[in-house]
Amino acid sequence: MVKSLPKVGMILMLPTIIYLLFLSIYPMLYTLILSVRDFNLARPDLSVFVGVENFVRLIQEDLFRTALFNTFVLTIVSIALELVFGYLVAEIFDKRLKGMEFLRTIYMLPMMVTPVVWGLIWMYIFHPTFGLANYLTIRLGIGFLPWFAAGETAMLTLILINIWQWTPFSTIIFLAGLSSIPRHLYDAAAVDGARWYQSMFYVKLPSLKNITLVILLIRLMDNLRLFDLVYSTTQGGPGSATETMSYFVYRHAFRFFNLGFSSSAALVILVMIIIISQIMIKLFYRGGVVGET
Amino acid sequence: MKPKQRKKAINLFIYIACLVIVLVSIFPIVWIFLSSFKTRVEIFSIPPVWIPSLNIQNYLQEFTGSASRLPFLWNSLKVGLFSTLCVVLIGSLAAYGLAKFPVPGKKHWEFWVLSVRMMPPIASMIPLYLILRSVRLLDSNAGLIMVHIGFNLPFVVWILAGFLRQIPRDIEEAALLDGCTWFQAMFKIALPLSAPGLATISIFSFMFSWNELLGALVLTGRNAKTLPVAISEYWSQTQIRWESMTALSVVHIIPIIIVTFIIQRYIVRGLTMGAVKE
Repeated sequence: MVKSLPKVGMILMLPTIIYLLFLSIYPMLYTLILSVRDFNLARPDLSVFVGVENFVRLIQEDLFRTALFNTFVLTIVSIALELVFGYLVAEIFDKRLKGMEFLRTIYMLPMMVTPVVWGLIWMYIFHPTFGLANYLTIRLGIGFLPWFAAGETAMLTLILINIWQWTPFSTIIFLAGLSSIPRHLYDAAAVDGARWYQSMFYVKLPSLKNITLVILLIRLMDNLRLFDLVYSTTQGGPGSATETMSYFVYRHAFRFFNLGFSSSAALVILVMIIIISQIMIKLFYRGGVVGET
Repeated sequence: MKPKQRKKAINLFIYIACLVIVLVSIFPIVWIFLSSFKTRVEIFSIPPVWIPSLNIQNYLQEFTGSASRLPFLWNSLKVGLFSTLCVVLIGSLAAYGLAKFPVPGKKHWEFWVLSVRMMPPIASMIPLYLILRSVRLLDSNAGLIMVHIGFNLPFVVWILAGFLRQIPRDIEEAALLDGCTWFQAMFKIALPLSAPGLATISIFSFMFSWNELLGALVLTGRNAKTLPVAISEYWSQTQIRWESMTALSVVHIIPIIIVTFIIQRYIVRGLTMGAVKE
């Protein structure tokens, strides 16, 4: 209809492009400039150009390496378990029974609730002295667990919470995937005498490949930038047991007001995430998942 | 067992399994809801009090008197509503442009919009803080609204473009043949036809803003802080007032629960940027 009007399309997009330039490209350049300066908000007059010094400091900083390591452990373990649990639950929910829609919607609620509230809920439940969790573990004979209070268990607790909140995400995406598998594939498998596990491995799982990619990409991005949950539970502690990349930047920028140094950390994280996400999106386009929505 | 009985038994088993899964999954939310009615003594009691004595003191304490949290609730509402309004206005133009016009380099634009969405918010927080500080918009609703618009814009454009592409071309072409301008075709035909899409993105955009912590934490302070920041503040107090915290959390959650039921059909699509449709 509008073959003659490519300009109109551009004009329509202009406000968005300008806005996003101002809110993404401009801050990125700004971060780049800050990252090569020694700039503390408490003494902005002392700001000087220091070249790559911030990055050198960053590489030598143990806490940053810990933050990277923690973030990747959390990301990988959480996503792996979310995928497994999510799929198993999806198999159970994938029956067209009365009232199932309603149950599914309630099941989705955890991921809609803000991580801050989740954090505080869990802080209450995992409280060492009057928390419900320890009451139950003691009653069940498992005994007292320190949860957030000890370095060894804090990360595991964080992962547990993360999985608890986000398994429903994998489940509903898998459900969407399962419902889009054509019936005749199952019928064909059944005619060929396939058992349930055979039809699972040869019909279902291959058809869910692209869907799994979607879950992977979205959860990868969520976990790599995880901040809210850490902020509202452990604040990186005890010690540095739950320090994550985003929290590291936040602490240096807005607690110590070391904007130069924290910008260099932000930049490193940004570049890492851009590389990972570009690879993932390329995979997507090849798989035909994104593109023509 | 007869096949019919067998089927019934299996269904019953599935129902029970589903019910257990759902209960486990939402138990913490139920627990916080019950706890918000507890008295201070009941909060700390061991063994835990399962059914509290219905006392609304916590809510009264949070929303009346001098230490009322009501202003933060208003801040959250204001920021959510205004940023949503703006983002839908700006975003629907771009979505229409992307979906319906032969824009040069279309794929690249789409790709770029999606990439912006992938950026970790912490990476832009430092410059945004300095920018807002220099234009004196720190700790203001307006400043946070501007930032939330930026966060939600890629999402809105991407999803709405998906909805708009589903409208058959013929309808608009017929309108254009009848002498409509493309502008009329957009506002009188395409956008009304994608009303479910508009509703979905509006609700999602509001919810992102309602839930957003990092930006609000960094860019607002005493005056303009939102509900999530107010809730997170309980953390730093040496004596956490659990009973107040639970009450405030429940107030924050209730709109989310209502909204989840309203948009349940589009949640999958919204959360996956339209990559998966249900």
